[in-house]
Amino acid sequence: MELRRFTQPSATKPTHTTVSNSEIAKWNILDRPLTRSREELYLSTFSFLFAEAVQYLQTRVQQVSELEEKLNQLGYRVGQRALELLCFREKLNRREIRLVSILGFIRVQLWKFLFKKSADYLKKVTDREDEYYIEEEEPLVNRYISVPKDFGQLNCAAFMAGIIRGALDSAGFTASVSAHYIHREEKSRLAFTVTIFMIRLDESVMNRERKLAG
Amino acid sequence: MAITFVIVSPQDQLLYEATFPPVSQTDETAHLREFILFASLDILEQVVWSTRDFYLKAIDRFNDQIIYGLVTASSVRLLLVSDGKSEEAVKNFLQEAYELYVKLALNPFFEPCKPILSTSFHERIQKLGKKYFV
Amino acid sequence: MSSSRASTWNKLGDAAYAKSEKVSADLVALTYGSFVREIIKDFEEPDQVNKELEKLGYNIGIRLIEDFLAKSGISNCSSFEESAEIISRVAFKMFLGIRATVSNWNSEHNSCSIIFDENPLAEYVELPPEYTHSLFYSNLLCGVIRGALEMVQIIVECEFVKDQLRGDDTNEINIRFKEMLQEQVPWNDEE
Repeated sequence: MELRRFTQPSATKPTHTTVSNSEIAKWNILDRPLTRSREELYLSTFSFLFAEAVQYLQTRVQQVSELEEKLNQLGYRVGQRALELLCFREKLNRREIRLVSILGFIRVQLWKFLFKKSADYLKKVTDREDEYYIEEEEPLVNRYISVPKDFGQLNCAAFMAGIIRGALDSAGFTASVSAHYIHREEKSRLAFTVTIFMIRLDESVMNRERKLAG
Repeated sequence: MAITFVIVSPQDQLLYEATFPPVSQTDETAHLREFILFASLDILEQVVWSTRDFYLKAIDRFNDQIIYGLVTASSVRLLLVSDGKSEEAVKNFLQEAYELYVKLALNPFFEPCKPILSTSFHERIQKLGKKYFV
Repeated sequence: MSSSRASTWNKLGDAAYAKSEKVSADLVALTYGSFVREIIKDFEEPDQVNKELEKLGYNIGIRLIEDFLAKSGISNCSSFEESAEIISRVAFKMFLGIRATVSNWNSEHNSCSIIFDENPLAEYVELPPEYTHSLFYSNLLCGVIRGALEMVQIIVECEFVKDQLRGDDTNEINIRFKEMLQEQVPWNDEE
């Protein structure tokens, strides 16, 4: 059985309007104020976009670890910019120059700025002075993504790990940051899974911290 | 009375330079100001990690030349060397230059540690320089 | 186009936008920017990037339509003309928070433009000189429209004809109707 077609004729391509060459910067971002007219968008806009980004990156790698690296890099560029934007918009005019302060700033202010809530916890790894982690029970990016079975332990929150890494690096706190699933048990609940963002600070950062601690 | 304004990365790379009023390459005083700016980078590094404020005020001095600085959230340094402009004008210039820098840095096509080549950025910095210093 | 229908769709758009769960608009803009940069790294020519963005948008569109129909309260749209209005008054509002308008209908009524002068995806963007005349930064949107309409049996071609990032005073996507698909009835050899 063949497809029936309606009789409305299909349209032909229009010729492109010529772009004005005179001053491309007629409408220039440098002239627009940085205060937004619109603070928020529909969550699905982000979810669809992010899911497609994961799909796209998946086609360009061979292994899960490579995909996590790409997601991390995708987030890194976001983190660098989010830090500048947040600090400018809030008119903070101050930066965090100590490790625990910048980590706290990321857990609370940066997280609220991007995800509308602070991350759940910030903790230092026992017996290590250069390792911390931020814990989040339900990272935004994982809420509507279902990971295909052959991708094992992929945690799309590698994107958020990248955001943390980008923000820390920008602020002068070079670190490696990765996302992991951890099982937790609490008395009143069934076992559940959380995501932790493992942060390992560079030696140069620890040296500076020691000096500043006096 | 001239001003040299530079943007320097956290790794001390020169990303942008402008002079008010604009000078020719052979201008000796411009070279001197550039030299002074680079000589102050060590002190700058100390100052940056000794205060949480973005605006660093006067970082260093060389004869009658004073170096002022502002550091952004992403540790980029905006420096200005002048011989006697009012600090008020310097501070306001740096604040507005900072805002321009942020807008530039938000661009997904912008790469933080590369020289700033945007003509629209340069034009607006020149306008700022005229507004406060000329 | 009756103005009462137009205002009904406006209201649906506003309502869908108001009641939806929200996320930071900056998160969307910065993520999209990072995504475009990634694609540019992978493809040499701006034209290939445009095509890839359209394709990725198409993949989004074919899934997004369900969410749109469910959340907007729109149950069907029977004509190309109606769908163009619904896209600009309801969908653009719901997903991008902006009101777009439809205009530039040709005489056969099979081509029109969706015009919008704010673009949350392009919020902080300035195109470098090498892309100003070749890259359509928001080409994803064209694919989304094409994919979504295909799921309601309307086949179109979609492209940017004006883009503020390229120096134009507004953003304009031209949509051209190609054909309407009749849903196929399965062949039954007992007949």
